[in-house]
Order: sequence, then structure tokens, then C-alpha cells
Amino acid sequence: MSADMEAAADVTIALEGGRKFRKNMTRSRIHIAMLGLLVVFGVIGARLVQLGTAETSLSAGGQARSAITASRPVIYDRNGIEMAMDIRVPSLFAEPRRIIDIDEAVEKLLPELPGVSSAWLREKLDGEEGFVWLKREMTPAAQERIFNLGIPGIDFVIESKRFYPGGNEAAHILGAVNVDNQGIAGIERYLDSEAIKVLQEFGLARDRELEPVYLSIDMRVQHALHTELVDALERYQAIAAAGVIVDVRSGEVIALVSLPDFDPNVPASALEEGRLNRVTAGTFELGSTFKTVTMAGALDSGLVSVTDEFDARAGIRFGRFTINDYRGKGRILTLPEVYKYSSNIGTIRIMQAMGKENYRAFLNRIGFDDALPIELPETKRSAIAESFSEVGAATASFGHGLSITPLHMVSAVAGFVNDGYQVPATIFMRSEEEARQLGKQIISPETSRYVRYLMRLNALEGSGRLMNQIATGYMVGGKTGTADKVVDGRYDTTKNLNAFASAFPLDDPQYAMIILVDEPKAENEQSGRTAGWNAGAVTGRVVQKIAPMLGIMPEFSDMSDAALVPVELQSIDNQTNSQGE
Amino acid sequence: MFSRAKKTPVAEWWWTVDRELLGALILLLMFGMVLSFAASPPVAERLGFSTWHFVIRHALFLVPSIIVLVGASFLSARQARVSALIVLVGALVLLVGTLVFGIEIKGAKRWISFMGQTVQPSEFVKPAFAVIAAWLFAEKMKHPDVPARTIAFGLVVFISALLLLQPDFGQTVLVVASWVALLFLAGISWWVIGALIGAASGGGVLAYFVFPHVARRIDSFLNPGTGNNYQVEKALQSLLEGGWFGRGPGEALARRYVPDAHADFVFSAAAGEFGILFSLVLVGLIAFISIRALLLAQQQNNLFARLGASALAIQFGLQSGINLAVNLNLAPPKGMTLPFVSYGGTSMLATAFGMGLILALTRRKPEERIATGVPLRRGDLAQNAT
Repeated sequence: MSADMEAAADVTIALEGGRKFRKNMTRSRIHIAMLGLLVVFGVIGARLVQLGTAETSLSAGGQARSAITASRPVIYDRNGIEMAMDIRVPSLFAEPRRIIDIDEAVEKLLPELPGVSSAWLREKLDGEEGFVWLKREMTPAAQERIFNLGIPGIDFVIESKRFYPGGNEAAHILGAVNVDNQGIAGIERYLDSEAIKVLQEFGLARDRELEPVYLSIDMRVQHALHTELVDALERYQAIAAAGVIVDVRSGEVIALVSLPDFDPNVPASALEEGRLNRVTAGTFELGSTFKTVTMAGALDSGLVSVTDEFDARAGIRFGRFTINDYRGKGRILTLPEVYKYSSNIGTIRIMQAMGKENYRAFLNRIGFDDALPIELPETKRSAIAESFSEVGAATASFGHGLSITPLHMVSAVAGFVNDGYQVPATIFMRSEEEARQLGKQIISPETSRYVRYLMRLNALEGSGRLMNQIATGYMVGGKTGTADKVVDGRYDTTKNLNAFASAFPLDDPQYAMIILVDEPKAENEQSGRTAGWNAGAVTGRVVQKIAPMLGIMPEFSDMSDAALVPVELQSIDNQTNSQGE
Repeated sequence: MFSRAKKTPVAEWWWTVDRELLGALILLLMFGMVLSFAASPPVAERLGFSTWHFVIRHALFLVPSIIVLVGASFLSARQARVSALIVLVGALVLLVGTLVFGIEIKGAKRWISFMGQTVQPSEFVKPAFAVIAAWLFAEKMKHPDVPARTIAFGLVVFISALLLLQPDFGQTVLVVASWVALLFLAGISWWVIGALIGAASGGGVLAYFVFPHVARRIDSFLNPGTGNNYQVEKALQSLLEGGWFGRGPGEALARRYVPDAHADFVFSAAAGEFGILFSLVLVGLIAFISIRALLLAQQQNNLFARLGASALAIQFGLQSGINLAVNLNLAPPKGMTLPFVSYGGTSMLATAFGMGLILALTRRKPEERIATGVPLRRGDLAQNAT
């Protein structure tokens, strides 16, 4: 620049000013250029951050990479028995563009891949693709053999495969995972919606030891229940059977079986028709098991007392319909008799004494309108009318015209016998202290005592006698329900859905159970088709098996039964006894 | 050797060159080496070379590149101009040569065989043109009667025509962009800038209709589902696979399927192994180099030095930015390398030459200080005198 200055000695002030202006302008324009580049690099940085936080769901070879190697937590039962675990298995893939001699590759591979046609394999290996699966989840021995063939462009990925040692036994609890290790049903799906999904979003679930999950299930009890229900399907030629046992104090589900079931190790079978989880995802008209609910509600309302008597001599007319009793007594019945003989007429009168609005409110209070609190994704809402008509309330009192899931019913029964304190059901471990904070009082402890007495009475003298014969000593009590199934909009008297909702031991209630048998046939000529013969008998056999496992001592004296009888009725019993003597 | 007591050329160079920029450039070269280890072995295997084919060649070019970088930074402004002119003329001759003797790779004649090596002359045209055009602009500003701008414009048209005949759309964009940057820095009015932006968009639209490969790339960028965007898809996969911390050296899987993992897509291929945090550091380093070079250019009193260094810095920043944007699927594929990082001997040497010239042009000028005894602001002093 110095040369310019000297050469232009006579330069004008104007030119000098222009030059200065230009010089400053270049400087300010460089500023703008810098800003522009900063914006460009800023956008690039932001994009990198965005990609870093993005969900890594992109695929390699058509499969989600992250899912392939993603591990899932081990699932244990309440005693630490493994219900589900990961095993590492090799999967075979090819990189067609690296395959040198397709003929050779096909020829060598074919004997190692049973059930694969030569044409299919050739088509897979031909082309310029970078990744094609040939066979997922092989044995290590097959891997070794293929590896030793030394074919270029053929390689293995070690995948995590979910394995369920129990097979079918806890199928509906565990659910299943698909080939990419994503939960598609049951608790596996629930886990995906929770912890694992969060981890996978941050790309941290790869090859990582995950915290094991402990379920409330007791696999020994689960096994017993499963065995008995499989036996029931066979014995009664039923189309389906289901059962669930809950701990009344903690709400923990101890066992849950729904048949027909599936093998979680063969996940495709989980989605077949008719294999739904009937305990949580099936709603049914549970019939006379509802009478326990009606009794509990009526007694708790204070409008009905346990000593009241009800006229069951004639059927009750509602317009064109008349509701009658099945093998009715045709006389005035006391409240315990109404329950014991499962009188529809008596139950309607009890409900009417309570009032249909009160009855509807009671159904709501015991959680029949709520969604199931259980963690399984397969659940269904109840179908109960918003408000009852006269006839609607009448049929509802003995369990018709409204449908709920079996788990709703067992939760209600659990609450009734647990001093009226209902704890929401769960599939995970829960302490009793925790349960104390979660639950709510649905009936008073006094009413709870009446209900326990009634349930036990039905086992001793009513439709639960067969059950009680099988499970003598374990103080089981419960109510049968034999509901005609609705076929094409009409009740079909030849097809029944039978249920038995029970609790044991009733001198110190610990477990509540419901057993469902769908369309049972009579076991032999002597036996009947009603619930006591099948659902009841199954309940008896299950209790007989599981009570010793659960540490419940049998009690063969009548002392405990006598202690269950309410004070109001004790005097009458004593009178009749003394009269008899 | 670097003692200040004796005035050796090396000592003078050491105390006047911008050591931060030099360090950053050498660091970037090292990054390129590390990324080559991550990204190129699968490509080499796929192309049938030995595993370390590209790594070894990358390393072999590293030494001459550093020599060119440092050597060029020794030049004075005048020598820089002369060497740029020689390189430009040589490269243009070769560029014409590619059209005649060129080797066709992937549908374009961009390479010429030269003593057993393939050379891409367009790589050398870029920095040389930037320096010569800057000189022409500086001359025009000092002597308005010289038709320097017209000559510069003629050069742009000539080079663009040669590049488009290859065809090499990416390099054309960079050459034209450096010319536009110079126009902008030289103080062209905003009206003309607006008109040029309009012309550029027009040119883009024209390219879309004239060059089928450009149209294809843009189509598949706009409709990811339909088009043939295999490269970009695989590149993104590789990036995502790595996550924040990468899968570790040799562990990434997706990079195996990134086609140009050693060249245009080296960034995303390596990101799978080293992770996004590492990538952010790399982007930061490139940004530092561009901004540092522009800041230094801004401080130059010599108009030619200021314009030349800025044009080179903008070229470097723009090329890196476009490559990164393509890698991150922010822009359609262009066929542009990441300077100093992508594999390519010609590109590496040419970038070293350009960056060396930036260092040369932005050296603190001892001759000015020594001549007058007044440290800085000589122009201001002269103005005060008049």
C-alpha cells in the first residue's frame, strides 16, 4: 500500500475517502461472511445433537439393529424361579455382494439349512444387497458347521433370544416377544412400554445387564392351577377354562391361567383366535357369583339385616317376564338361606330392600366400573348400564345383563373377606404395608364377617359342598355361578358359563380365587352341569394342592366354622340344636 | 532454530505465522488419518484391495501435504501470487487434458493419469483461482481503469465451462461461490448480490433440468421414499448407530454399507465408531479453522492479502459445510469431499496448498514494521500526514 501512496501523491481527498470507505467495507463484509459460516456450522452442530437424541430405530438389513442385540430383563417369580431369560443364539446372514461363487455357496449351504429350497437360497444370495437374513436363531453346532464351510460373504450375528423355561404354564402372564425381542403381549409388552423403551431411546439397552423383574406369581401355585385347569378342559369337555388366585391382603396375583393358552417360546401362537387372557381381557355374565356382591352390598347398607326373611314362594313378574328360582324352595327364606339355595327371587327382594340406586352405586364402589389396575396390557372394560331399570337391577342382582372380567370379581371377593379392605390387583411384588396405603374400605369389617359366614355356609350346606369335600380342612367358602350363555342374542340353556368365586381359609382369609369353566359337559351320568360340579370341584382340587404350598394348615374340627357364625344367628342355631337333641 | 536473536528465515517464519491456525490444520490432518482407519478398510475390502490400502495411501500423502502446507506458508504475498498463477495455468491445462485423455469413473471424466497416479486437476484449480481472482479484484480496487474484474469474470466462465463438461457440478459451485464471495467482499452493492442470488437459483434450476444426475439426487432428497438415496440412507444409519459415544474402533456395523465411506461419506462412517460427541469436536475444529482464517484476513492491511485469504477461507468453510450437510442429510448429495479428512491425494495436496497460502497471506508482516519503525496502522499514519 505504501507504493500506492507514493505513486498517487497528487491523489484527491475524495479518492482517499473512497478507499477508506472500501477498506472498512471489506472488513464489515468479512464479518458478514464469518456470520454466515457460523450459521452453517451451527446448523450442522444442531443437526448432530438432534441425531444424537433421536431414537435409534433405523434398520440394517431390514431389521432393527438395536433390538437384535438388546437384552431384556430376567423375569423371576416371587421365590426367585426364572420365568423368562435371555439366551444368546447365532443368526446366519449373507452379504450377497461379497459372495464370489453363488453356485458353490448354495451347494454347500443347502444341506445345513433344512426346509429351504435351492431356488429360494439362490434368490437370496444373488444380487448386490449388503445384508440378507438366511436363518435366525440357529444352534451353536449348526453355526460351527457353517463356519467351517468357509464361504465368503456368509456371517453370523449373535442375537438375544427370549426363553421361557415354563413353556405354556405362565403364558398369559408373560406374554411373548417377537423375533426382534420387542414385547408383543403380556408383561413383556408392559416392560417395553416402561423401562426398556426409555433405555432404548438413549441407545443404552445394548448388551447390558438389566435389573431383574420380580413378579408376584408363585410358579408352584401357577403350575398346580395350570395342571388342574388342563385337567378340567379334558374332564368336562369344556371349550375354555380360566382361573386366578390373589393374595387378599396385598392384591398380588399369585397365579393366573387362561386356557386355551400358547407357548411363549412360539410367539406366533399367542395371536391365534380364542387364546385371549379370559381373566383380564374377557368379560362375562358371571351369574350367581354376583349374589355374594348383592349380599355384601345389602348388609353393608344397613337396610337389610342378616336375620331378615324374604318371600320366595312365587316368581317375580316384570311385564311379560317372570323370574323364578332354579329348584326353588317355594317358601319364605332367611337371608342365609337365600344365599345357600341361590334363590334368584330372594336375591331380587334383598336388592330391592337395598334400593337399585344404592345397588348400582355399590357396584361402582367395589371397582366394577374401573379399568383393571393390573399391569398386563390385555384388559377389557366392564359393560354395566349407567343406571338400572327395575328389571335390569333385578337381573343384575344375580349376575345377568351385565358383564365384568373374572379379575373384577375376584378383587371384589378379596376385598369382602379382607375385613372389607380392597387392594388393587398387581402382577408385581408388593409388601403389605404398601398395600395398606393403596387400598380402600369397600364394606365394613362387620359386613365382612357376615360375608365370610355366608361363603363358608354355602360350602358346608349349599352348592359348594362337592368343593368342600375335596378341600376339607382348608376352610374354603365361595359361591357358584351357572350362567346361560348368550348365543345370537338369546340365552341358550344348553350352553353354560360356570364360575366359582371363593376365598380361603375363611377363619383367617388369605387368598381369593375364581375358577371359570366355559361350556362344560357332565363328567358322568351321575353328575350335573351346574357350577358346583365343575368350577366348584376344580376349586376344591386346586386348594387341596396349593394350600400346603402356601403354608395353610388344615383344620378338621368344627370350632372354626362355629366361630364364623354371627352372634344374631348363633342363638337360633343353638336353639335348633338343643331342640334337635 | 526459532531463536529471535538471529534472523533466520525459519525463525522469522515461526514468529510471524499464525501458530494457532497452523496447529489446527495439522490437527485436522491427524483427524483425517484417524478417520481413515475407521472408515476406509471396509471400502478397500469391498473394492478388492488389501484391508489397509486406503489407510496406507492416506498416510503416504500426509507427509507431502504437510510439506506443501508449511512450504506454501513461507511464501511472501508476491510469491504466493506467482505460485498461484503457475498452479492455475498448469491445472487449467490439465483440466482441458481431462476432457481429452481423462479416465471416466462413475460417469464423469474428472481424473487424468499422470506418472502412474490419477490426478484430479479441478482440486488445484479451486485455491489457485481464489488467489488469482482476489489479486484481480484488489488491482481493480486500486486502479479502477484496469479491466481486472472482467478478466476475473472471464476466468470463472472458462473454468465453469470446463468443469461442467466433465461434468463436475460440485466443484463448479465452489469456484463460482469463491468468485461471488470476492464480489461480495469487494463491496458490490446489495442490489447486485440480490440479482446474483437470483441467477444462482436460476442456475440451480437449470442444472436440475440439464444434468440428469443432479436431478436424480435432488429428487431423491426431496422424496426419500421413492428415490435412489442409498448412500445417504446408509450414512445416516451409521451416524445413528454410533449414538453419543460411538461403538468403538472396529465395532460399527453400518459403516460397512456406506458406499463412499473413505471419501465423501467419511464423516458419517467414522461417526458410527467414534460417536456424535467426537463428530461435534471435528465440526468445531473445522469451524475454528474457517473463522480463525477469516479473522486473520480481516486484520490484513494489504487488500490483496485480505481478499485472498478470505476467499480461500470461505472456500474451505463452504466445502466442509456442504460435505457435512450432505452427510447429515441436510442437503442433496453433491460429490464434495471433506478437506483434509476425505481420502484423495490430489484433494489433500491442493487443500494443503490453499491453506498454506492462507498462512502465508496472514503472516504478520515484519518487512513493513522494519522499513518504517512504526509497528502498525501505516495507512492511518499516511492519512494523518496528508
